[in-house]
Amino acid sequence: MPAWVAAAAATGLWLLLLLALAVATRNPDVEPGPATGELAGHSPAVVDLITGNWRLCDEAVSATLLDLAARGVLAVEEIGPELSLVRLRKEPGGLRPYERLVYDHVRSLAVDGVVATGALAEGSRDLGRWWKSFRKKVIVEAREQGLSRPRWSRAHALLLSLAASVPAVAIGIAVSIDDTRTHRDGGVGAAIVSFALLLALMGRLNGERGTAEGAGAAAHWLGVREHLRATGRFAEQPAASVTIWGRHLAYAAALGLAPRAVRSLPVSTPADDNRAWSDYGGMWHVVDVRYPSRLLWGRPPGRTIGRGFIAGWFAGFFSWILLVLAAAFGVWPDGLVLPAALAVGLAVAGLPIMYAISDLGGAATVEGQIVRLRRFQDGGKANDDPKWTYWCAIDEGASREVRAMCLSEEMWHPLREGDKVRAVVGRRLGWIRRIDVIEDSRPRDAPSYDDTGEHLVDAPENLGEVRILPEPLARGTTANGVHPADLVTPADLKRALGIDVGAPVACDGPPAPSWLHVDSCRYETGTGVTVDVHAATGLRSRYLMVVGHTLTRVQGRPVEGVGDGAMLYPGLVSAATRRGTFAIAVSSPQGPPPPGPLIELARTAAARLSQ
Amino acid sequence: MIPLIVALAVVAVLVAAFVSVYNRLVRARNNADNAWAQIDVQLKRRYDLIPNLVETVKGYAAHERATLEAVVAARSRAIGARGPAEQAAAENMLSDALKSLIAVAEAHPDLKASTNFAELQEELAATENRIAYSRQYYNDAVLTYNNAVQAVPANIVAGMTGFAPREYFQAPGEERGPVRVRF
Repeated sequence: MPAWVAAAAATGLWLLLLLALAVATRNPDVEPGPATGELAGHSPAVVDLITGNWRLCDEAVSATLLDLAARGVLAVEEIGPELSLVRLRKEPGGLRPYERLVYDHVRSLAVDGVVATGALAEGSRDLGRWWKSFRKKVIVEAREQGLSRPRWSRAHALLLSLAASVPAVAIGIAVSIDDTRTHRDGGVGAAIVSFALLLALMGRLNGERGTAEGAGAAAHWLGVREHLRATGRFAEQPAASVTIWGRHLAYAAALGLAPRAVRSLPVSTPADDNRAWSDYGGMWHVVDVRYPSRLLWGRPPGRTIGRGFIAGWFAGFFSWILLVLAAAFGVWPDGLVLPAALAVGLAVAGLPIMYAISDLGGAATVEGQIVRLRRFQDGGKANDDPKWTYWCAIDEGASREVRAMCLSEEMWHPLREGDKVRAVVGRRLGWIRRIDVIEDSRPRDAPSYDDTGEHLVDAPENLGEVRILPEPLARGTTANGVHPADLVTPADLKRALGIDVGAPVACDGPPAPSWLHVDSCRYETGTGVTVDVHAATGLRSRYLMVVGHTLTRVQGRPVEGVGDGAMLYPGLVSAATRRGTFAIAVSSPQGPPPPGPLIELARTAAARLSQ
Repeated sequence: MIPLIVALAVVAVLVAAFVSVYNRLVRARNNADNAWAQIDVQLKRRYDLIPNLVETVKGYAAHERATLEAVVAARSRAIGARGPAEQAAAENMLSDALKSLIAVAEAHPDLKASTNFAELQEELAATENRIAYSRQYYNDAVLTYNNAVQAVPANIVAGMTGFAPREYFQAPGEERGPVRVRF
């Protein structure tokens, strides 16, 4: 017993020490300075931190995005009351790490350089880690500027850790010599667990605290807040009004004065289960997602047949009992008891069985983009063997409303929102029998999502950094993901044109705007014949379709049956597929080759590009 | 007395339902009107850009007269178009004419190197993209409105109060779907 008293006393003393240090290291009191319109040099995210008692709020992310827009890195454009766009304006240089994080998120979602504001919540990132990384980067900058510091200095952390060992050891001894226990082992374990708990408590109380300089800056920014509150009606301003208000709107958002603009830029907000943004078809649009009741939905056909039989049997049996009772009281004719019970049973069993047979016999193939992947608990205890249903909503581009379907856990796990898929489904029962990913979602490969999270106690600064990994390029591919030499090979040229060429060499691309990245290669013969192959991927690659006109100044003619469309010019053919576009230009001292071989080359290349 | 009360109750329910449906139709119509106004804004923005673009190209490639005149003519037709279908057809023609103009630029390195032209081209591409989104937004609003007008029993109220289905912003024969921006 005295050992326990000693352990309690040691723990109490340690807690007192912790309390004393916590009081000594509390944030300084900040009084708003005089109202002023002068924007000091701090970023909106840092302003959010220091004016929020050194705790970063969600608004910091939206404010950062607005700041990027005010500085011309992005543009926010209003299309309608419920639709605004964020457009990438120029490749930014010198962004702060957390600004880069936000910019990379926007870029990873952008289609043709554009993303709908509502779609900023989309993407298959780990939002918790993303936010921690953002927070960490803002804190690093605030510390560099002398505005903030960790609550526990190294000395504090060392003192508390050493001091925590005293109660931990005391608890361990108390456990070891406790007379009331049969087994006296476990003292070491108790000491380690106690030590870990005390350190966890210490870490929990850790955070940022302001410096004197930080308090002065916070007072200034609270003065700015008073000025903005008095001069602008920022609460009603949409995000697109950043065009008019510039950085003032960004700072208003950071200071909590622009809730409408902040709400419309949900970068740090979890995506809505029922309202998804899809870019299937090339333009962002809203898709309403429904998760129907699972009475006759989201079940595999085989089990549905079994369940249908069981339900029919029970319904028929209980109907039979009720009808027998009714007949005994003379309210139901005896002769109709069995037929009526059978009819009820068949009616109950019939619908699910018909649906199941329909799905088994006529499964449909759907192609589209996954807009929602969710799992919801469906039975079982919350912490002990919970049962889940796995949902997948696919936008096929035909409707703005999608019913999510169910699938097995094994199929669900490898999928990501944004993946383009082809699925074999039963439309009656909403069950996905097979699903193949045709194209990975773009955010899945974004380097910003390879994040390392954050450490709370005196973390080295690099622990919160985003690792920008170079995009791995498979052998023989380029930044476009396709190598022109793979589309047209020497064997193709031999077969179609009867020429022997050497190995492909890199060459200049055709005249193209700066925003289009074209990969090019050239084949040459010893007789002066050159074959240039240009390829690019993405929607913008369609620009290559006008290259023929640019180079030859001749009106081309369309060619049927090659990719999604092809144009033929003298000595040049270009074709577009869903994946990208290419152009093949043949130059010869004897003049352009006949159309036939060129079309054959294009057909082969289109097939390869589509694969 | 009771039949009178029942009749009054039925009438009150019918009036309430009528008002509710009517208000829903008005909201849908206003949404469609608003969406059309957004398209109008973006189209006017494009009309304003075109003269500058033509003048810039003329400074470097005055001999491409046919292309320049085709753009000017297409612009005039687009400005004069009335109604979504006619407007969409005219806008598609204008887009085609602009593509030819941009292709002309590719054959003139001086023009292509011009900062003014590059900025105009970028602005035009951004405007095209905004038009595409405005068009999608409008078509979605019209779909909602037309569904509201044509569904039972709202179609009764719509017929009594003059709500007619709207045209989509699409050229004849054109499939509904996203517009590809190819500048």
